[in-house]
Amino acid sequence: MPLKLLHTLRLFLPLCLYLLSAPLNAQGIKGKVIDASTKEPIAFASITAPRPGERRAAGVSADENGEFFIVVQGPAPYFLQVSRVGYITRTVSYDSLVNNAVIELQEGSITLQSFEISGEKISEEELRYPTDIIRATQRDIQLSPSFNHMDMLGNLKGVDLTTQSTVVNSVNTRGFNSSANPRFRQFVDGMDSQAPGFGFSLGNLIGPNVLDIEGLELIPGPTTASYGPSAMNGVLMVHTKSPLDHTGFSIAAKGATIALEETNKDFFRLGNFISEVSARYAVSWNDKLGFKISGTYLNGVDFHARNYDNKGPGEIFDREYSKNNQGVDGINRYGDDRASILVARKASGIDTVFYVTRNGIKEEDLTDYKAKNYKYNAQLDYLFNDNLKLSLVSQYAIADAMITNVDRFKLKDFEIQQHKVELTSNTFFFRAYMTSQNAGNSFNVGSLADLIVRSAKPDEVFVQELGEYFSRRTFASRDALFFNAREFANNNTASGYLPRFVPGTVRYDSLRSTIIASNVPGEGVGLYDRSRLYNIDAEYSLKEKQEFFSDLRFGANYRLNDPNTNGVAFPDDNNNDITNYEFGVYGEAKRSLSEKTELTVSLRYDKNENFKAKLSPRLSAVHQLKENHFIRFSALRGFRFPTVVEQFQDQFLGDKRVIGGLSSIVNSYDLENNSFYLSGLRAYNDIVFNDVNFNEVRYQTARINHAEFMRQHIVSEGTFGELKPERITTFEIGYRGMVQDRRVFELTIYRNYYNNFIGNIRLVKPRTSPSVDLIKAIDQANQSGSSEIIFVTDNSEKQIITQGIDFLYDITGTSGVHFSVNATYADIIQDADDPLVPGFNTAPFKWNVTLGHRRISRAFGASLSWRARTTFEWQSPFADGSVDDFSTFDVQLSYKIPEIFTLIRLGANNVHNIDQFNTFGGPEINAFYYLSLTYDPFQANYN
Amino acid sequence: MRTLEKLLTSVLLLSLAACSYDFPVPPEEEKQFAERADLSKMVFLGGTRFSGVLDAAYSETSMEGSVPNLMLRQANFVSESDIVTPYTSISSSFNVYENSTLNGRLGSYSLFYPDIDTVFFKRKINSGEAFTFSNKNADVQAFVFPGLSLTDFTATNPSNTYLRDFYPSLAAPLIEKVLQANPTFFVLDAGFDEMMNFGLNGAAGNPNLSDIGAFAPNDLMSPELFRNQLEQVVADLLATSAETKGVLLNIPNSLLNLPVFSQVNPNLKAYGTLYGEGAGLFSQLQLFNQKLTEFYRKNPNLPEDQKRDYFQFFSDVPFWGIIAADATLSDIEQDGYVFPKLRPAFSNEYVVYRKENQIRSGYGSNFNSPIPNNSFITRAEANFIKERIVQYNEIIRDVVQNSNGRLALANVGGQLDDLFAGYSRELGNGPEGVTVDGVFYEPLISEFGIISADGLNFNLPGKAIFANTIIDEINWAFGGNLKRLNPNIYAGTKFSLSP
Repeated sequence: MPLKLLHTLRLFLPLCLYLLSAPLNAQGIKGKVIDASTKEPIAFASITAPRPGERRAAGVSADENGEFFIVVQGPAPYFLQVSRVGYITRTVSYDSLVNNAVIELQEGSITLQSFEISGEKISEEELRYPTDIIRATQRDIQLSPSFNHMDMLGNLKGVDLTTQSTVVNSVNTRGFNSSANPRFRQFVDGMDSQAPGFGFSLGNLIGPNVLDIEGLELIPGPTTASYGPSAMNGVLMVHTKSPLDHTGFSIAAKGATIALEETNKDFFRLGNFISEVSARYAVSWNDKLGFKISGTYLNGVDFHARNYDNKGPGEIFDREYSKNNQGVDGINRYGDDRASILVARKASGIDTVFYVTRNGIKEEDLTDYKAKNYKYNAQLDYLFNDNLKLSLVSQYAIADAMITNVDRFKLKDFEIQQHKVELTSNTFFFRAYMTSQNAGNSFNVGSLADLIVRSAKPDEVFVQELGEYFSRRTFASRDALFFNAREFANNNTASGYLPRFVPGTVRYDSLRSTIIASNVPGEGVGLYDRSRLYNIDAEYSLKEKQEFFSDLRFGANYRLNDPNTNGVAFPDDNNNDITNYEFGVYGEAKRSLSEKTELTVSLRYDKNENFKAKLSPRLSAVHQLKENHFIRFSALRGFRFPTVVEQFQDQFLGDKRVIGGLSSIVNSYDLENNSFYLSGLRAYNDIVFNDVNFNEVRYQTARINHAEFMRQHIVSEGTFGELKPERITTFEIGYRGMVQDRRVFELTIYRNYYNNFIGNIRLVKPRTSPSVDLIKAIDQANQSGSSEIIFVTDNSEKQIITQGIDFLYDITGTSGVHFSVNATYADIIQDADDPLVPGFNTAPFKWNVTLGHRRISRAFGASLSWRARTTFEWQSPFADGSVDDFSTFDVQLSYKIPEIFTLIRLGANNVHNIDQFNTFGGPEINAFYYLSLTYDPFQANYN
Repeated sequence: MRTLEKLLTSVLLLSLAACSYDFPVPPEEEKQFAERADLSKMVFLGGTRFSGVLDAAYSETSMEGSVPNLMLRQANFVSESDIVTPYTSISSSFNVYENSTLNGRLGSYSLFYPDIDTVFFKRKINSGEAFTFSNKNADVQAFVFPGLSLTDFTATNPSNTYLRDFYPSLAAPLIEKVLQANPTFFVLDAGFDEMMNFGLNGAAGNPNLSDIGAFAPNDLMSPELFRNQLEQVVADLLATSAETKGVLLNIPNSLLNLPVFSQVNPNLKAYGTLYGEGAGLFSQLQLFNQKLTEFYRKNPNLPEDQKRDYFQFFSDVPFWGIIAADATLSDIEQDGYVFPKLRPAFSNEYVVYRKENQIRSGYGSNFNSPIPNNSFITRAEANFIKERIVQYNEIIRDVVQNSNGRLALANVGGQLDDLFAGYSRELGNGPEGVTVDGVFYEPLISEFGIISADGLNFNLPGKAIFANTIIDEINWAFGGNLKRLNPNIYAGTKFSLSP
């Protein structure tokens, strides 16, 4: 048994013993909240039961009749704190448990804390927030029809949730979605959860489990002034429960089955299980010292990427080689990505030219689909006084999963850990943390296929042999000819090369193992990554020290990236240690211009080691139209420094190379005057193919005839200047209002102007420079053996504009039925002449509809959500293509047993198991049927 | 709190100051040398293969790409701007095969596809300009001229036009000039130009020259004379210093596979559709065959060696074969019809390609314009050439073996033979070629070819591949670390769509 598993069991054993010994009975107070003046019931008032010394407690919400039941712990007296928007918060005490408490509230204004779990539909603070903001509590998470908190985000307004794996989801808003998501930042208690090194977006792979989450905050749109230059698209913040405030033990167990069957998709079958056990234990001493530990043990199966549709030339349904298509490039079949062209002569003497690819290997023959995620976090809090707290946090995760990055990667024994020290007070915080990762036995699945295919024989020999076979035979029997030619080229050993490695054979398995074991670029596909990230944040508030501004704060941050991939992804080795630092300082001031209008101004200064300093100003104004109706406007100019990957990357992926945009990297490939734009080559080939195959022009003639066309697509001198930071100028106007305390309406309109947008330019570099010999260079560019496709990180030549509208309508009926609909429109405007590939990767239209009732009866709850996306184009270094539209239903039934603090959930994501892809080339997201059981004394009060 | 603020500020500043990054400085280029040879003064001796002829012509740019210049620059023995060969600065070109004197103005060959549906390319001669060396009498490291024979190194009155133009007042044999350069290392190409000159002249020269004084450019030295000349030149070079060493090159057995020698077959079409043209050709052939039949009927006991061959032709086939002039044919007459001394070229005979551009004007396909004797190679002559190559190569190998390790043999001949492996013009099988970093090269005039438009001189990728064999041999035999050339960075043979 692996040591790590033993370690896991040792951790869980005491927790399980504690659970067995825990009391299973519950006690509570039942009552009603009414208006002190009218004596009318107050619906949805928030009731909490803080114990003495506790600063925060979970609560319940009264129902539409003002009635509530709240579990209380410990001996009397019991304190209940009751609040409601428009009423003065009141705390009442009881000396014993009662079931007929009547609590009266008086109308008046209340002060809201910055972030508090409450039963309110939406807080006033959220209503008057200067940007769009979405908050979710643990209760929202538990009662939403989703397997975990990341799944839930997919139902939120404007959110693009990319499910990469059963254990990895990435979140994005406002366009430019990708698996790396460099423009969206995700924090767990202030720690950036982006993986250093390869830059994977790890989603929930590391971080708290659902029992430890206090709530989520998602801010769509640029927030660079506050969260750093990378927060161009938005931020997601996950807040965990403090061990000082949330003590005790909780545990949750989930089981799920995924409908992975390729056939009979409508037929429900058990199998392909995922099991997840999460636990949390927190203890505090004298309300001074608190400690918590939580962990998750997930084991199961991953989603399969088995879309073998053709993304190469020809029709999408050309899944197999035939006389009509020799250039098949299966989406999830690798090694067949790079096409060469072949000219053959028909019996009539007329040339025919077509693309040929190597016989690829299916992803399922390259990797397994086991998924695991073991993660733990521990936190030690010490309260020096009411105003100063020290926190020490450690997080660790190890995972197996399939993810999509610049290629398809198998994370295997992938480890990541974060350690943080944080000092907080009412006026400042200081936070320092580091992230460290170890790729373990992870490997590049796509490149694995490329290496296996080319280990048999190089592309140039394969194409040559295929051509020879054609040249010696006529087209009398086309089917047999094409089949035999491919068989010949695949298996001919007379040229001194090896026959094709066929999956399932011993020699295939042996070669595969050898390639996976090596991380020497060109020889193996193992991912070596022991990168680190060091980060320091500090902020100081002058709010209480002056009166001119309603809020005034200053902050600074420093970050050091220390990638270490041993040459796998960066040109780093023992003699070349790459590091990159950046730092920034910022200030933000808020001032009320009148009772109804508040102005916020912020300014940020950032500097990256490799780029000039940048200033990011932001201005926003919020105006209250009337009670609970706010309109806001903001204008921002922000910058994003290229990520470490965008700067330094130099990674060979088998069919292509992806390089960063720093001059020192780009210049080493000598691309100017020596390479073509890939789009130009494809356009040229279309013209030549048309001449040869339809106008019966000789290939050798046609290719010369159109050579001048290609001359226009040579990468000219000066194309690659210094890589520049990306600049965004945003204008946003929004409205948020609440009517009758139960209906929320939101509308946001934004327009972003990107200058120097960072994307990639796709080139093909032949061995011979087109400046030296254009025809020869074209010939080589069309042969995979004699040219290299290179994706270069670069800035856009022209301005790129994105714009969108977000809309939300949310209502909770008097009967308790909750209905919410949100819609998002997003669009990109790019100059057609700009060769940059931006990768907008966002559906133009998205709709989410949620319908549910938290408490159909005392114990039952149910919710249903419908998600729809329109078709959109996906662009990434891994694959380009169209992601089909889809709409899915998620359902969940919940059954609560407050007496034993237990919640049972039965649900399904994508209940109809329709074909659904979040990314082009990514896995098919199948139906996900789950059953979960949660024991959580805090949660027991959520209704 | 002030202390804390100071502490935070200090941490931030220290962190900033502690980190810096500089992209690594590229390592200094390794010095190239040989452990067991002094390469500081490397000289080249040879003819066409070293001279820089490209597409049959000399030009400023072609000479930049001569093998000595490429090799010495790659080794950093000279700077990128240095020229170590005799050099012309003419910006146009001068065809070394078509111009009878240096004042001729025919330029390089260029290739084109005459029609949009043409399978095979054609060739034309560009206009050029008169030739002159721009560094006459200069101290050069490469004593290389087109067609330079081994005898030109030892003769006091060399026959090579270019040599005489470069050294107009050469008083002593060329080898003396070479020795004055104090070579520490030499690369000698001997025998190739002799064989090539002999072949290009249709094997019409003296095939067994034994008297050096009677040498004419198209003559072929007897093996004995070749050995004598080679040993003399090598001895002179090695005598420069006890440490002087060198490399000799051999000759490809597949010399006649070079495109300049088109192999005759019933449908000769290797580098152009050879077909009959000209008014009255059809009736001329009919008359010839008819008279020949009558002659044979009249002379039934004619000895075989006096018989003539019929001209095979088909009214519906454009490929009528080659009409060759053969002075060895017997004089015969039938009813007043004097049979011209013409015959069809036989299969496996070779036609010298450099006249191919004249085909459309009737060359080789017209009774009035047959292929002359000095422009085709008979089967016997072809076999003779192949045998003589073997003999020359044995001599070269002997000289190397007898040098006590001071000489090495660069097997450039074997390299070309390997490239031609599997090649069959009759069967239409392409040569095996070689793949360099994914780029396929074959020893033909083609989009992947390493032969320039003249059919015998390498284009720049070909020169690089050729030079790499020499570099490999120096590295292997003398412990060198010379860097190989990358053939892929050079332009190949160009084709255009219009003449």
